[in-house]
Amino acid sequence: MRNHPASNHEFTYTGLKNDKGKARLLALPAIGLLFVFLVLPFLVAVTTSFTDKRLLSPNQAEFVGIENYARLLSTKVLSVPLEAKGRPELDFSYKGQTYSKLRDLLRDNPEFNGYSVLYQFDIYNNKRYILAKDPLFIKSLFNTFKFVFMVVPIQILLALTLALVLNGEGKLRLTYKLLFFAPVVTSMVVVCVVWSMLYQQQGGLLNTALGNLLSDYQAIDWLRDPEWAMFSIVILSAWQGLGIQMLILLSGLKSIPQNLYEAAQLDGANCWSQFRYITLPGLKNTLIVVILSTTIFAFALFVQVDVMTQGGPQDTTSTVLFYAIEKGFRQQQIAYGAAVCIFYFALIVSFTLLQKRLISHDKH
Amino acid sequence: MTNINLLKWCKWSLLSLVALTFISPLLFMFVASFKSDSQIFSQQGILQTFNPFNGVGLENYRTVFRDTPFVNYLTNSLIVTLFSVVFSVLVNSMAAYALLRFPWHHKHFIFTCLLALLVIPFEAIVLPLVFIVTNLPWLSIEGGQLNLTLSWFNSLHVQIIPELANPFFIYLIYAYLKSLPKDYEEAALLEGVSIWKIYFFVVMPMAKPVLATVAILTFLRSWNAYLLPILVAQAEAVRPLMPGMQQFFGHSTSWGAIMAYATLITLPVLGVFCLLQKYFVSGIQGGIKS
Amino acid sequence: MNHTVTGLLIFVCAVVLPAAAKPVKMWRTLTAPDEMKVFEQQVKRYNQTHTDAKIQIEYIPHGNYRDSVIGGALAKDLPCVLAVDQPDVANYAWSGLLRPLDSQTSTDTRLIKKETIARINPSGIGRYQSAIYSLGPFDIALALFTRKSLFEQLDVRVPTVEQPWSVSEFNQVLLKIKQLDQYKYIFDMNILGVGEWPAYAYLPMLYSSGADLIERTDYSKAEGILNGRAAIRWGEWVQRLINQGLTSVQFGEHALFERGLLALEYNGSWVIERYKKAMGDDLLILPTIDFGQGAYIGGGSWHYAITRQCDRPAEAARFVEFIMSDTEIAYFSEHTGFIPTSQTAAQKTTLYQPGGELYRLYQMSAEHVVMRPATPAYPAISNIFSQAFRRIADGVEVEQALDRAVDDIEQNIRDNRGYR
Repeated sequence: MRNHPASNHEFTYTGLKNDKGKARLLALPAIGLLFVFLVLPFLVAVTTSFTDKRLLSPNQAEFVGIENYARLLSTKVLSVPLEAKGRPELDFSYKGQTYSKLRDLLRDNPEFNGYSVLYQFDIYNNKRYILAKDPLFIKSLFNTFKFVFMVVPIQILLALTLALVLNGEGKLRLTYKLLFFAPVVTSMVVVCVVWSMLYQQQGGLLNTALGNLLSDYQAIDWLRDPEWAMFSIVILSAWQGLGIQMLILLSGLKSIPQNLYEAAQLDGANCWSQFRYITLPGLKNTLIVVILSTTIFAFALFVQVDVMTQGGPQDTTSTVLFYAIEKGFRQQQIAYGAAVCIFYFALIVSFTLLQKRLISHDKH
Repeated sequence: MTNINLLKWCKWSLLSLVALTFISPLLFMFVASFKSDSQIFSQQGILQTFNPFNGVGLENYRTVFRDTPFVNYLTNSLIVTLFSVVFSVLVNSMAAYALLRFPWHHKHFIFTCLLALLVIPFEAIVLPLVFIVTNLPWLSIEGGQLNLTLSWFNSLHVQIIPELANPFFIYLIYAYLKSLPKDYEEAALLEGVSIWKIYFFVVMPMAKPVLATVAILTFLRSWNAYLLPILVAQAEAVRPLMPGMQQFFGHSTSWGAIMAYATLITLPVLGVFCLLQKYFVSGIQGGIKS
Repeated sequence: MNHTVTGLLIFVCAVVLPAAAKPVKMWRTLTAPDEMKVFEQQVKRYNQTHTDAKIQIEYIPHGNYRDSVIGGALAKDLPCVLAVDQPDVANYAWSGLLRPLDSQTSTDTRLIKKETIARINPSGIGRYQSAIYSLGPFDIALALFTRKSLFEQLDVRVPTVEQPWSVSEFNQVLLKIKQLDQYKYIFDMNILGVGEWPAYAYLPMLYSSGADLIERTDYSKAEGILNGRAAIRWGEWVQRLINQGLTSVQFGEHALFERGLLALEYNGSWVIERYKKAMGDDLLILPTIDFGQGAYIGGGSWHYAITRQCDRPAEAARFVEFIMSDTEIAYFSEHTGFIPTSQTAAQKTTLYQPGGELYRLYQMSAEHVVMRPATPAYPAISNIFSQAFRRIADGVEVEQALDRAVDDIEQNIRDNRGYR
């Protein structure tokens, strides 16, 4: 990505002066389009996120400061002492008041205005509640990370295995490479639709196959079971995308000098140590690029959720981007959606910077 | 020696098994498109499941053409894809060429800006984009009259124009052009050939490989477009294939017909892919790696 | 830029066909083919006598009609005549998309005659604040659909409008059907129904249990209404049916009832014609379930409104007058089986005149009807309720799901500054 637009690529012809205007004209469409459809929306996103603008509303938008961001990220911890043993029914006492329901406690005290429970756990004699103003956003953020941390290793390990196996020339190899690449050119919407059928609880191909292989297999409702839904999305996403990573890794493998392997074989190194001491170091840069581009790509998880689960079951597949579209467009709260988008942008930028740092670090 | 052959044979048959399993969802899509729902869910065994000839023939395909405006969606997608590919190649290569060959004030600054734009993901700006396109004017001719519309929402051009200029493509073409000698162009300039002619007849032919890459990436993106059209092209008349697929998926009462639709929109791409696989592979490789 | 614009301009010129006399555009939902054919007949008849302002219909799919309207508003491309789902009228009126049909202030002209409006039943009128924004020629009803042949084998009371099944009776019926073991599936209440279905179909059940979506005085409070004891009891009933295998969230197969795989279905009266064709006299239509406060059905179906963007409101209004005339209401009802929204039109039909085959359904829709709350917040409420219902179906604790729905609804109202 390093760039020094060097002047020796420019025309040196002096009669060019008259044509200079025309040359500007060549670049004008791209610059104009980039401004209107990339820079401007970005600026609008930033400014809108500080207002309460709605997509269609008779109300004028008002400046609200950082309220949207505050609502996105506000969390609080509430600690309630567990009552004496033998009382399964829990009363919540707070500031001398006793409530039978946590919700009543939250609604009754202004400092918890707008908060609801995100997560709860017990510590010693206390019940701890993590409260958030927008629990669904926090959950979506968490789900997005969960997806990234599952899909990236699975996809890259599979791609790496395939690349190692298929590395080399030959018609058969090429055929297999193309085969593994075919899902990449297939639309994600089509992939989702096809896999929705494979994932059917009753009669779905996956459950039928597993039922035949495992003796006491209980049919899983892949897309509607909160435990499995995100994992199901991970599998089909990895399936769809791993062809790309495989190709990039293949070209990385190609750039490792063959004589290194020959020398190692002369030294009597086995397959593993060849992989460990030649392939892996040689692939390091390619791997970093692959890992980080896959990561950034994975953060943008949207289509699968939109087509297959709409964020359910029980919010387990709602992602940052899905949430942004859901809030900002379908519920018309464009300002709030814009705040989510800006947050998403910050997330991506930090990962891009991380990538830059990792790679330049390597060069020292 | 035979041992090694056996090992090799084992390896390739195992690989074949893996590859077949891997590709089975696509095969299943194709096969299921020839079956009725009860056949899809009742036929047991691999041979029965993957046999396309024990179903209902082309019935599901008839259903697709009867129950959805498939031809309409297809036309929309073809128009959007065609215009996107042609203009994306033109707009981005023109910009790259102009930036490379001509002296600009603050060239370095322009470049830094361009690279900075690379980090803005499309998804992050799509909401304000919706807002912006609803406030853009457009002129068209309707019934012999000039017709001014005050919004780009629900149109075909809204699916084409916003994504045409792409800093990444500009960068890709720029990097490629840099590796080309400028002698031909300078010679042509000295002959008094115009910049436009040089661009069309000297530069573009030389840049064919990178332009193919840009064309293929644009093709895949436009043909598979989903996020932008579900937001800004909701009217039936301008809806492209993928949102149409999602819609049909939500409303159809037959898996077979859904698979027929999926097959119809996937086969052409797979066909083009098989024909141009060399360009696809190098295109996507080049596209992601940089 | 030049290239792009001219290129696209040429293309736009090429695809847009020149039209002769400018038609008046209208949007309508894409519904069952039979129903659309009847409507097309009406439009055809209208167009023969109104050649200067022919009606041109565009069909919009049912599931995302609401999105399409918002899209049309954003595209500044709404048609003159807009079919609207009755409960959404308040929101569209508040957003400034619709013109009042009766004159409210001196600046507005009266678009629809007083006499026309006077003839129409409440479920055929869409109001917001003190003005009328839409009129609807028909209503639909919710009912339980089953087979006579099945009920001849079961030893159960057949319910009537006067004496519907209580919920415990209904549970017994389901168990008996299960014991009979003739049907693969027992009961389908279309849990995964999209769009307006959940609010339309389940509000009557909620209402019958003693709950509601929102308090109906100033439409700002849902606490204690949507998450009260009554609502929770109803949600737990749904979960019990799912857990006992008496109903399913997802069936995997389609068209179950016609194919004889399903014993009992909760659905809207729009399926009557289709089911009659499939099973003829064996079809048995039963009134809805009484959850304690009487059996209810949802009221208010598709209406017609005139948009603000319309530059020919008078011509659009002429069409609405036409479609709302007693002759046309009766004609539509006669050919679709839908319930007419005017007493005088009902008398002209065979099904819904007093003593007619479906007169009871007409009564049901006139007397046991619960309208959805007429507030601009309604589309949001409906959406939030759908999500809550989906969570309940997914097995989330009912109280938790409904508490969250209440929070979301009240938050939405605050976000819109009370929709004032």
